[in-house]
Amino acid sequence: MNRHFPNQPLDLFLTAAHQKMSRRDFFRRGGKGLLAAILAGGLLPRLLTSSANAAQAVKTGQFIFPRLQFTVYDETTDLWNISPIGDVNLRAKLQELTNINVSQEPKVVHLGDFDEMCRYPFVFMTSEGSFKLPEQEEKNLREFLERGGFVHADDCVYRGEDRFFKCYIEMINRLFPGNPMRKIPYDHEIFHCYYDFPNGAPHLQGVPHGAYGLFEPGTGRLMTVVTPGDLHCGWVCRFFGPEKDRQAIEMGINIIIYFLTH
Amino acid sequence: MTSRIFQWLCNQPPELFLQGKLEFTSRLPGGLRLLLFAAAAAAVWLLYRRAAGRLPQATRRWLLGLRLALLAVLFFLLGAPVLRVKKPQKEGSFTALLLDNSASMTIEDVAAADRTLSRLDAARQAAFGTAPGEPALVRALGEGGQVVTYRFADAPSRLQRPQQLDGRGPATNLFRAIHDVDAELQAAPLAAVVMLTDGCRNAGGTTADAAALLQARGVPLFILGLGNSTPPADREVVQLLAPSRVRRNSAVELDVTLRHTGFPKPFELQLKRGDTLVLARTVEPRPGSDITRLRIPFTPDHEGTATYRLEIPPGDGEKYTQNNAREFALAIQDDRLPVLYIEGSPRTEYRYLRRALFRDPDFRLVGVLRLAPNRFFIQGANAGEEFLKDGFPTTAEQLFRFQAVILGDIEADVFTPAQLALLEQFVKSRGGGLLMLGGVNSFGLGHYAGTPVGRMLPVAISPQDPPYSDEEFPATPEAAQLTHPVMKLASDPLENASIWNAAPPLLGITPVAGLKPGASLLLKNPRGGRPVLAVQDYGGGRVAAFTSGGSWFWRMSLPASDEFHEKFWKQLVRWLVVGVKEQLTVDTDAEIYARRDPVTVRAVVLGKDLTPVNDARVRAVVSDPLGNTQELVMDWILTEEGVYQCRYIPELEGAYKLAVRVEGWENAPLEKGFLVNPPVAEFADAGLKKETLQQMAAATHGKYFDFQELPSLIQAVKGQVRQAATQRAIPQDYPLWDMPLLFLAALALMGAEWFARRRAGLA
Repeated sequence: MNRHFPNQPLDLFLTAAHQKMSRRDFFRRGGKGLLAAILAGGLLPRLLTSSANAAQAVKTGQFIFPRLQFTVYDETTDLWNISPIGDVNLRAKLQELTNINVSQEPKVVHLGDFDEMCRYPFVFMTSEGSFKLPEQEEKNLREFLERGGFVHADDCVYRGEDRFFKCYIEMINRLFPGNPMRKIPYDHEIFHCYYDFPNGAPHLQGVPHGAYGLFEPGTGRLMTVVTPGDLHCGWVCRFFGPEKDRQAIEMGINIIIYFLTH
Repeated sequence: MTSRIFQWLCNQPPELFLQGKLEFTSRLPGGLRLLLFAAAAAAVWLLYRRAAGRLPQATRRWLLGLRLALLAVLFFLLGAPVLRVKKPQKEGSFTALLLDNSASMTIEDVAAADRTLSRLDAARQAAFGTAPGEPALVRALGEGGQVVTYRFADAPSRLQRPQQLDGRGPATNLFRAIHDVDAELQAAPLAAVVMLTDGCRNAGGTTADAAALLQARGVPLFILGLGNSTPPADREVVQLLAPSRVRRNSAVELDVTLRHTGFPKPFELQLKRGDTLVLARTVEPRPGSDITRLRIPFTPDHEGTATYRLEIPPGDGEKYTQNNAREFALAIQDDRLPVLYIEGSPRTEYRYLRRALFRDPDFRLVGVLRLAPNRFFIQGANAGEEFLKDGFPTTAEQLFRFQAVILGDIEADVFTPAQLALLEQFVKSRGGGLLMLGGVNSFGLGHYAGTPVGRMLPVAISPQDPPYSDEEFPATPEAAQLTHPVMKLASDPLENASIWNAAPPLLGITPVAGLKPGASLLLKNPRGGRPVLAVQDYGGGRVAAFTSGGSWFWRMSLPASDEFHEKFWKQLVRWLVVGVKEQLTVDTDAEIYARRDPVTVRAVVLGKDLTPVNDARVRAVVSDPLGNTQELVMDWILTEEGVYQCRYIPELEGAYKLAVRVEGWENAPLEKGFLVNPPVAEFADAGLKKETLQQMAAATHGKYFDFQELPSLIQAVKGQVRQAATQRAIPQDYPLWDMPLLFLAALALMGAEWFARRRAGLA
């Protein structure tokens, strides 16, 4: 189910990023990019702070894509809040390419505020480096997943390594002893529910482990997924070229649709 | 001496003349005879008048008188006189003796001389005697006529030997006993009916009707009451109502009525399956009441059909334990409940609702998610359901393979008018369940007002309804509806109320105008009172409206081990499909039978579109308690479409299993169980019904006697037999013409007249 998007805004943006253009085109297209950057910049303070109103109602009519805030102890550059523009882009494409009612509002959640976090059953988590959650937050994460919450964890890849990926798997395996995370087979529904990925999750950079998942005993449902190939940076649509960026976005959409249907 | 002289003169004893009546049997009418006598008397008078000058008047009168007296004797003889006496017909009168042979007669509470007899032994003793010289009805009444002896329970039959009284009658039917005996002896001269009974537990016609039968015939009823009027101290399972079939993992509720006469202390009630104790409950009798009613929930954990036994363990010196238990058969349906769930787009509510039902092996949830116009994502479909890739089913055969339909956040315009009409037929005729969920495109916002779906909903909707609200609110249950099957998340009412009071809030609601008349409100938004969960019956099916799109928050707000969310949705969906028609249903005319009671098995066969099928080949295999099987052919009964029937006579007591199948169908046979139990109803309320029996006897101008009054009963019946015989006496004539008295009288009159005529010079 590969989709091609000729004349779509994203394609124009991607094309402009990689081609020479006239001044008129640059200002026109750059203006769009600048506008996007200003918007992103304007959103940054909100991304860096938790929700001002913990009791704010969740728009149940909409799907919300929050980012998980956590502490990274490695001296890596890209932390939990790297490139929020990637989230913005993914939400926009999700709204555009599916009939899911998507909220474009950014949101940050924290495992320390468990009640608030439970209002957002889908959570995205990324960084470059290793991390260690406090014990209570690990317990909260386990409870969150057992209640039906879902975490998509993506390795932002530090210098071609897999620090975040390994750290996440080690943590999940510790939280769910006897049920280790394992590689998701290429014929799994998560790779085919909306777009087809016959070779599994696209790999943009880093160590090609393939996507790993925690499978729920008895049902086989994926409770959490970790992707080692830096999908998020593909969502930023800046680093890997239009084809890889597209695949990254499409895989992100697949994961969300899998969450909403399983 | 005088009597002997009288008898010589009159040929008959004097008592006969006292009993009898003088009658004339001559063919000559009495009037004519009188006329002839008058003519003869006139002729004699004329003759003697001619001789008036020759005879003195006194002599003439004397001679005339003698001659007239002689004429009177002659004319008396001409009248062919007889003495008519009514003789009672001893050989023709009948007495019917009815002996109660029901199970309650085995109770030992009849006080005899030095011991306590069972009611049955007392009846045997009263009827036949057990020792020489003992009064016995058969012997005593046989002297005055014929005695016809019957035993009766639910029906009477002739009693040939005392040993045939065995106390195994399953029930007592006094009316039928009287009715059938009366009919059998209709042509016979029935003098009296004698009944030996305790009067319990009468079923069938009333005792008043039975008495009326005998009263109309003028036959009195004499009753010898056996037993003690005060019911023995006893505990009994009076009634047990249980379903015969449930889905796997479904809770079962038993409605139980217990009686505990003479036992005021708490006692234990046990539910067993074979030797396995399923549950035990302590029953605390209320002061001043012999009856306790309770509801016992449990969840069966077996496969197939099993027999359960609800019993009160004997104890505390309880004498009669035959009625302490009741059994029932329960079949577990192991087919998965197919549910079709259609959503306008993937959303969180779909995910969590699917998850709640998916984990339960009793449900097969088929999800149809619209991803784009005319593009649907299908989950959980079986082979043969490929039509779902085009969206909602378009034919009855396609839709009727499901038992419930859930409409999520999807507008009415997605469906054609024919599909909406089909959905109404699905609920109304098929008995399927329909559930609509809250969302931005649901209810009035989804333009369902004025459509068949809008008609079915238990809430009033309008296109002008306010938009979907994201508010967070506590879903408040209606207190009176906490016992509704959907709302019962715990069997204990207090615990159930506590669970609902502690329920997390919901997120989001589709505002609707209100509840429709006749619908039930189960949950509401306390701010404004808008319905959150409403239900109603519609035709043969059920419809529910859940106006929130955020029940997933229940799941995420509670610990993972708390199954509040899952249990609620499973119960709601299960409740929706209660009325669903199956293609094959099987039933028996009762759940519990007595041995040799005919069992009628009935099957209804429908096609895939749920229209009756009249040419199916239906077979029933019956397995008895020993495992022996018998195959029966079930024939279409002609008077009802799609209905097939057969009969079976059980010979053994115990649990039976039925497996019914339709040849050519792929479905597994449908199972059902029934029980053949020994009779226990007789022991319910087993005291002697003295007052009823007294009234019954009095209504026929008979009488009631206690066991100790047997001699008086015998005398009373004998007197009745005699009286009845007199009333039916046949007249017997004794001729009087040959009485020597008459001959001597005639001779004396003729001699006196000749002597008188000679003296008068006329001879």
